[in-house]
Amino acid sequence: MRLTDRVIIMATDNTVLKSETVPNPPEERKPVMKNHKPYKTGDTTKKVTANILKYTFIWGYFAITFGLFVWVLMTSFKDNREIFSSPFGLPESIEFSNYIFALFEVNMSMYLWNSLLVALATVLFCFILGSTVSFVLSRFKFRGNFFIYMLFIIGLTIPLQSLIFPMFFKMHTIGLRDTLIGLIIVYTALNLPKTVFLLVGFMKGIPKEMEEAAIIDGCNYWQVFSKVIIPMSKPALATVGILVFISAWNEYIFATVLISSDAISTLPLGLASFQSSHLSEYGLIAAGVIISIIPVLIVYMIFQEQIIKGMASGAVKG
Amino acid sequence: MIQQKRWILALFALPTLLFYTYFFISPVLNTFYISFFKWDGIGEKVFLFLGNYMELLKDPIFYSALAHTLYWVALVILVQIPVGFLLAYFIYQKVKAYKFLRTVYFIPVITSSVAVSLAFSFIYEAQFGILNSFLKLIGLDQFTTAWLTDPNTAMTAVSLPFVWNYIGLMMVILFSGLQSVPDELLEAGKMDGVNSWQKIAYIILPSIRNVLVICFVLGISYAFKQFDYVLLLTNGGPVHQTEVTGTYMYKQGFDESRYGYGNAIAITMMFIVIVFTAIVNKVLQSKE
Amino acid sequence: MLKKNKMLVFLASIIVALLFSGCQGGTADEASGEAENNEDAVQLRVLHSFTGAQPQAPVIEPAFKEFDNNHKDIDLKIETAAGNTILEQLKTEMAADDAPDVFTHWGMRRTENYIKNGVIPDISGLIEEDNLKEQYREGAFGPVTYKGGIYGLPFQGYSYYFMINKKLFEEHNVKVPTTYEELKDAVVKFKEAGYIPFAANNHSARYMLLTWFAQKKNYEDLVAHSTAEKPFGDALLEAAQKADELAELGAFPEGYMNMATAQSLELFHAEQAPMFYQHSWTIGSIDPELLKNYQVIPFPLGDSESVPTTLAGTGHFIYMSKDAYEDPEKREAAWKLMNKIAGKEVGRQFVEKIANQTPLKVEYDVDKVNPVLNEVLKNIDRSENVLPSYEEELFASAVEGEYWPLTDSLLLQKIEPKEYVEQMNAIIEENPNVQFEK
Repeated sequence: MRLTDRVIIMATDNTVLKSETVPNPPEERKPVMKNHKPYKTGDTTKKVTANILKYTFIWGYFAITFGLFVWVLMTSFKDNREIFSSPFGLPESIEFSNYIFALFEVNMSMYLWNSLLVALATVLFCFILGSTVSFVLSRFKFRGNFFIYMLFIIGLTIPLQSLIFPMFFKMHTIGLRDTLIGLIIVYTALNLPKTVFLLVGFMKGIPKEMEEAAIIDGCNYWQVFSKVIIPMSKPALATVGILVFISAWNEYIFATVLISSDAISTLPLGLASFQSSHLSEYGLIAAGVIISIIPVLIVYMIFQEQIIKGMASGAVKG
Repeated sequence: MIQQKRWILALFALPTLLFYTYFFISPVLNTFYISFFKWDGIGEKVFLFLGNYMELLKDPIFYSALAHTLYWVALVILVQIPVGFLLAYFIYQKVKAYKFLRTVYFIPVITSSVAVSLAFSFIYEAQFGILNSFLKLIGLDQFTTAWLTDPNTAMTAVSLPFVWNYIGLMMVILFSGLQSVPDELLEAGKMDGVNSWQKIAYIILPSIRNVLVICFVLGISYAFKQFDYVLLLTNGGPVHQTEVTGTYMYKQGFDESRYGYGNAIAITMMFIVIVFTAIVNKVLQSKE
Repeated sequence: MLKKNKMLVFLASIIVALLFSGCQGGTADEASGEAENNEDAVQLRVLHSFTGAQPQAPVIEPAFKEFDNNHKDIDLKIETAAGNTILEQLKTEMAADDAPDVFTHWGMRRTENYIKNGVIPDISGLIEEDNLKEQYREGAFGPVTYKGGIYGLPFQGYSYYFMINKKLFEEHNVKVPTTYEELKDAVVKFKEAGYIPFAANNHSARYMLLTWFAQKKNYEDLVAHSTAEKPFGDALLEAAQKADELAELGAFPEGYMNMATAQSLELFHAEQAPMFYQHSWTIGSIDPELLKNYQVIPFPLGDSESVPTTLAGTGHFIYMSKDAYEDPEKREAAWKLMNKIAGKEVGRQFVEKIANQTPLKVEYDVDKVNPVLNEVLKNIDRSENVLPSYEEELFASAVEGEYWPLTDSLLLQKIEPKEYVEQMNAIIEENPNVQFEK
């Protein structure tokens, strides 16, 4: 913890120094100075309209997003007839039949659990595999460094659906087709480029002095990695964690092809089977959507402070 | 100072590199390799060398799909990131109930694309869909349309779920960037009496440039790669009207069994994305 | 720091749990559990698409399970890919040289490539041995007959049926159409009365076009056109003009190009549309409470030279893979399973339980059958001409991908009927049906 604090102080020190030692503001800020007077005397009406605009924007966007959520929630309690006759009305009665059907007849509860396992394990693997290589790539100069980094960057650009076939062959060869572990490996591989891109970017921003100090204190590489770099990279890890979790949670195309046993299907697969043209039970679909959102929403709400705090404390330095 | 052997570092990198090479790079090379062949997935591969690429250059559907994809990129740059930024900025100013807002804004991000598509297919549905019902409710009957098939609206209609889905993500990333803007700078700005726009343009944006680069790179790569919304909402139709490169490639591979051609599209797109990302990096970096 | 460690422990414990559950991963199927003790059991990997919300699931899934339970010497490992996702699934497995031993699929329009490449074996020998042909309707093997060989067993039939809402016709005093001209009148009148004339999507419109075309053709003609022996001419042009005209008159709902079939049926249910022309799989989804208002009628005749025609045939088949065929034990087991799924009992249940058509000659209890299906079946019997649908049975595999968007372009008025015919000829010329060659 102490090490982290020191770095942040050093980092802010730099900027403080900069803003203090430059007597004149940077050039682009000069017009600001000129505007200084007129603005001070400026009218409050301008401010009021600005505020109105601001709040319309915030709450307007809120209304769209929350409205949609609430609407799906209400639809989930209705049957088709009710949906068509009063699409915006409150449900006539709160009946959980759609939920019960979705959870137990369509087995959403099982899909939920599978998805959660896959997403969390993918995040963990990405953390382990991504942080070690990022540590080496960001903190040490050696021949081939740039080349290896570019290998990951290229991974960011390839359209993933073109990898379905070769990935399937791989999984087939090593006998992991139609297993959750196989799916986790595939998701980890697909998310590594993103992970490395973000982590290398962040770790490069960590001042060199920190690890030099640690090395002088007698730390070996492992200790530098685990005691200095990882704690300081928490914010970036939080970002990576969200991104990877979401992509593993949402992934649909690879799961379609790799998973064919119902018992290990993931949530998107279950949801997609709802949409097959043979079904138009909108209430049931809505219940499925809600079921797929609630658990992640809860997880996010529990961890959101940590995530935001984590991301913000050092900030994504890129 | 203890001299450590450099080769120890290899122990850190090697497991990941092996994993990545085996599970990612080799599939990519395979894609690259197949793109030189005519292959239906089971039969003999016929070597065409650049044949698939030559055909691609003359394929009008590919160009329209590419145009649609670029439209997505434009939406990311002009709508997704700006809206995400404004939301982040207002939340950063701690408007009333900002914590609640922050959670709600994030809901779309954690909703799976399949679920989002399902919800939107019901919104757009021409007969019972809520968008048309709503327009009728407020007396704007003349604006109702079949959102997903009307040539004027179809492309925008399939894009909206994608744009909306990721605004919350952009918001969170930009928000964390805003937290890092040194207070001293803002204080200095206040003393100079800058107005809000000046503050954003001259103080905030330059100091979160790195975070912006992340948003642009992620947003653009998502825009080029994302295709499940289209696949689930319109499947690229009617008549390729909403085709994006992602769906076109997928359909060439799976529906038409032209894997070689599909892979040639993939490799071409890869190069286009690399060029785009490089440009973004140049533009945003050059200001430094 | 503490929090981080806790998180790690949490994640790690999940991974451990995962590893345990992962061990059972692939075979986590209760049905196969009991047979696992039996070391000598023949293992069969089965892939089928009739699961979840699919209308055929209530018959197909229990049939597989029953087979598994009744054959202690055969151990089924069942994989599913609901609806159309089986297309991707099978293609990927085939490409990885990992075909399932037994699988369900459409006819040649989607298996041509596998048959051509020899990954699906010719089973005509097995069929002859058991003298199976007798128990199926004539022509049932059409879509799996390729250059003289037979490659699968049929288990699901289809037809296109025309259904109207009698009540609405009476209320608005519209004559029930028997010809295209009368149909046009009905469309105009209902349109004026504020209805959507057809509860249709783009599939319905295409089926109409195909039906008007077929009303002037016999089976030999259809074959000659699909093999590019004879180019399409006036008959297709006239059929295309009719579909085009109806689209222009606004006979179809807004957004029909993109509408799921089930959604279009909802329009009919909601009495917003008085007419419906669809594939027979939808019969089971019709709301039984509204049945008394409905009537199945023959599809209106195109003109005076047209003959009353129903498009009907076989749509789904069960296949075995070449690898299973070459292993005598597996072949025997797979063949037994195929006979079960494409057998009379399943056929009877298709008709009685889920209102689907069967390609088998089976006895069934008319009282147990959905009344719409009864009428559809009667209507087929009454038709002078029963022909296979082009897109289900006769077009080469590669045609579908271009023929669908081409027909959509016609309906969207992007191309003229004349161009439609020309381009159809070009497509067929490029991908002629070769299944009839020797």
